[in-house]
Amino acid sequence: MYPNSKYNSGNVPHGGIYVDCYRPNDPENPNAGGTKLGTYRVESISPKPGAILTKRPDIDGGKGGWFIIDGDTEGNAVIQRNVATTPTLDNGDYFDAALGVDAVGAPIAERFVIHGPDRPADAGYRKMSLSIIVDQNAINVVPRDPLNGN
Amino acid sequence: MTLREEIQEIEAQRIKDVERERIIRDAAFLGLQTEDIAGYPAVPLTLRHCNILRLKGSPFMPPFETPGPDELATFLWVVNPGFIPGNHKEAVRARNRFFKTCHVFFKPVEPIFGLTFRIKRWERRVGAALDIFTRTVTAARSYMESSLMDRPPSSADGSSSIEYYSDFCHVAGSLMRNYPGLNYELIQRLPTKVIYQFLKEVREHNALSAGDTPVMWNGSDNQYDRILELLNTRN
Repeated sequence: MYPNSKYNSGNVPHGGIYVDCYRPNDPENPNAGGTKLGTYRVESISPKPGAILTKRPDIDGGKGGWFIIDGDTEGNAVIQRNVATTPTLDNGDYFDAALGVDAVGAPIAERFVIHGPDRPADAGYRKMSLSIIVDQNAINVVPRDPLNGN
Repeated sequence: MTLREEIQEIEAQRIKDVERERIIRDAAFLGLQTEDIAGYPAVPLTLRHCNILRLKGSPFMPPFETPGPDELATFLWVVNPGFIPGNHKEAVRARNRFFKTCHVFFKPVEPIFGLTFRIKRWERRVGAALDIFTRTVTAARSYMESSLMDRPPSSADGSSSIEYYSDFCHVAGSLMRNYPGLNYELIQRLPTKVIYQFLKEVREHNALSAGDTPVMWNGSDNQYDRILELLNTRN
């Protein structure tokens, strides 16, 4: 307790989520399963659904048209690891998480595949900045909350 | 204690740490003139203090070793509001005057004649001096810990890289480049608590400008580390 602290509800958000990370047993067939590397903390993640916009102007002066198709969902993340119990993450490692909700409010479980992790050699070496891409073809995507085991 | 309870306990500690960090950071910008180290007044630590302490080989500077009473007294004198550098008459007089106030934590001289009552009284005085010394060292370490809380990270294995210029040059150069208007004289007088926060902001801004995700570190993140260790060893 500090001098200007009058009330602390203890309900400060975690500021991140805990996830289990895996390394595919067969990189050519990642849906066949992976080896669990351990539990990591995702401090920040910013998946952005990509889109490809195609325009079709009418050269005869009529109305033009365009259409959008889905691109890959990609983004950046900062992940913290415990150096004593978990390895450095590598290209192709992945974790399942439900970050978004659909139209009826159900969580959307997705598989985030890691690429380009950095390996900082300073006091923040327990945190890695890396890129993620969502695997659109993943099956058996079942995020688990390591905090309660569900 | 279950895993869930242990995590809740660590989480509670983390919240306390976050609160403490926030208070130290906010208070740094209030321009407080003096702090307190177990009853000894101290000005906010500046880079100039760091340079002096490092030149003196102070154990209160990283990598933080165990100090003796002499080193504690020197440290308290360097951060004292009445500190006068140098060896001229006025400086020596002021230093000696201050060092007299530090006698309370020096081991008293052993009695020449080892009479029982004298030995007992001496032992009591030794105990009291040790107690004051321990409390003052703890307070001094806390002062340093809060002053250096946001300092730039060092290498993971504790080794230092080759130095081509002083740390002060690095800090001053970085601040002057990013905050036009700051000058060398002013940076010398700014508290480290303020300077290191600005350096963090520079680090974050530079990463974002380069399209990178900034990786920042707080001391309170150590609690997440403890949670991860529990989850990985017990789950």
